[in-house]
Amino acid sequence: MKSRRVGFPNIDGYISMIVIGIKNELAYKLGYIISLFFKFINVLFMILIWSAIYLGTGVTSIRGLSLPDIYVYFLIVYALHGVANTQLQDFIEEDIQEGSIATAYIRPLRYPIQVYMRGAATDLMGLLFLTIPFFVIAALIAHVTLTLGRVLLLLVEILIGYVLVNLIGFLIGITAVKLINISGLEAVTWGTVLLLGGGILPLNMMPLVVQQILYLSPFAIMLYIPATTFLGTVSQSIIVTNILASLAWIALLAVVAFIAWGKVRRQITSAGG
Amino acid sequence: MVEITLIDSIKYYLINQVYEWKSFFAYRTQSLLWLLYSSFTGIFSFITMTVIYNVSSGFPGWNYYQMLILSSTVGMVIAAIVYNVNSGGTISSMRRGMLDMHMVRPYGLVTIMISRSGAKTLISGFASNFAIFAYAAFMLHLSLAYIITFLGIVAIGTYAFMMFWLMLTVLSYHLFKSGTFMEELVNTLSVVGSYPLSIYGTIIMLLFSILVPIGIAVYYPAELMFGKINVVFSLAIILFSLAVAFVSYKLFYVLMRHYASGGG
Repeated sequence: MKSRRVGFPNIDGYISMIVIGIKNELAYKLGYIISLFFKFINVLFMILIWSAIYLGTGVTSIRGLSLPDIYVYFLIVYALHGVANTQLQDFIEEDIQEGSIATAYIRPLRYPIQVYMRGAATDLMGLLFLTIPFFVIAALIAHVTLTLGRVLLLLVEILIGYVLVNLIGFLIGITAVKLINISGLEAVTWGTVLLLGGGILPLNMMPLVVQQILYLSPFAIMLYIPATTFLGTVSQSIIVTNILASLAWIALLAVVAFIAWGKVRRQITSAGG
Repeated sequence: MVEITLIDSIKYYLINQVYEWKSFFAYRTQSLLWLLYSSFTGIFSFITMTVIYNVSSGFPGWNYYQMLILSSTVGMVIAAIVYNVNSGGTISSMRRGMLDMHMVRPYGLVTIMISRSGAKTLISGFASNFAIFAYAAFMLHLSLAYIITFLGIVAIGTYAFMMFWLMLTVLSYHLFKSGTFMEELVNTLSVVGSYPLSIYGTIIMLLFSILVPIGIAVYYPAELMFGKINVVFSLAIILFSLAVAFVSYKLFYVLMRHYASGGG
């Protein structure tokens, strides 16, 4: 199956995909509000758990992080859940399972960009209702003076993490062409990202060897590096190492995604309807 | 009218398990990946506890192995419950009217619902948590009698909590028509229950002991095993578990009387 090539970029077409995506998200308002509520609750519990460790044992700092730092760390980590998250793979899987890939493919829009735009609607909602509010709360609690340089660095890190998440999501998504059902693969991948990205524990609490490996992985920049950059508790050498490693990962994954998409798009079949 | 015995209900449950397992393995690669992912729940909490006790002295009054017992037990309990009552799947079935044809069968509604709705993948989550539990129990030199008593009380609490979970699933269907609330709640409970309830303060401790009684299945049995509460208190916990099961069962039927299928 070949997509019709039209003048690129077809901005209006892509923007309408985002609008449709936002409408779809808002169609399930209650579910969305419940999810947000539990995000707040989960941060609260993480704070209570770590408070028990710090206050119960009388320590003021663990691996350079004080108790207020831990509060802010988890607030930022949950804030980043809004952007270090993608539904690209779900859209591709759904299109293949329901056969709507056939109609998506005949639109005068490139399919990978089309699904990205649908995902961008969810990302936008996450940014507005999760990332920004949590960042504001963290900034109020932290009393951190954010210099322009640090804000820019933070934005660069978040952007790199976002690109990596979407590339990984796209690669998982296109496996649906062969596997049809990819929910298990998706769960394994995002579970791994959460642990290795610092979503469960700050990475500097891991053994040194593990830390060094993770700073070269594509995961640390999704949660840990931006959170500790915000706090100012991570060294510049680690930030630079991780940004360079992440850029290398982006290049590698982009090449893999390009080649893989080139191969699998010829094998797409419409499975249902 | 056909007389349904307990044996008939068990047979119905087992036949459905065979069907569910076959369906689960229809996508073999994905089912294996789901089993792998589910086993992560135990591994993640093991890593978390190990790191916490590596960088600090952990939770006051609880040593590393006791915490492993607590977190692995909550993993096993939640796996056992969600294996039988997958709230998201149940609510989705109710909304689409897919449960209706099963409800005309001559079995109890509880039997029908726990036979049809479970998440099979949780079996590996149960296994990984059980392995961690066995390791921690071995390192603590717990006697077999202690372990059996503990697991017996956990089993009663788990039954009570499963009835409560089933009732809450139907209530959630009435209120939200969506499984999101229950799916988010089970994730939160997995985290909350992995740590001593006392660390959250009195109000939250009471909340998770009475209103959402995960404590009766995990925390209080663990406290008994480690000598933190006396036998009289633990007997009271068993009685309370039975009361929770009974009230949840009754409420479940009250809610099901007002059940209206969402489609079909």
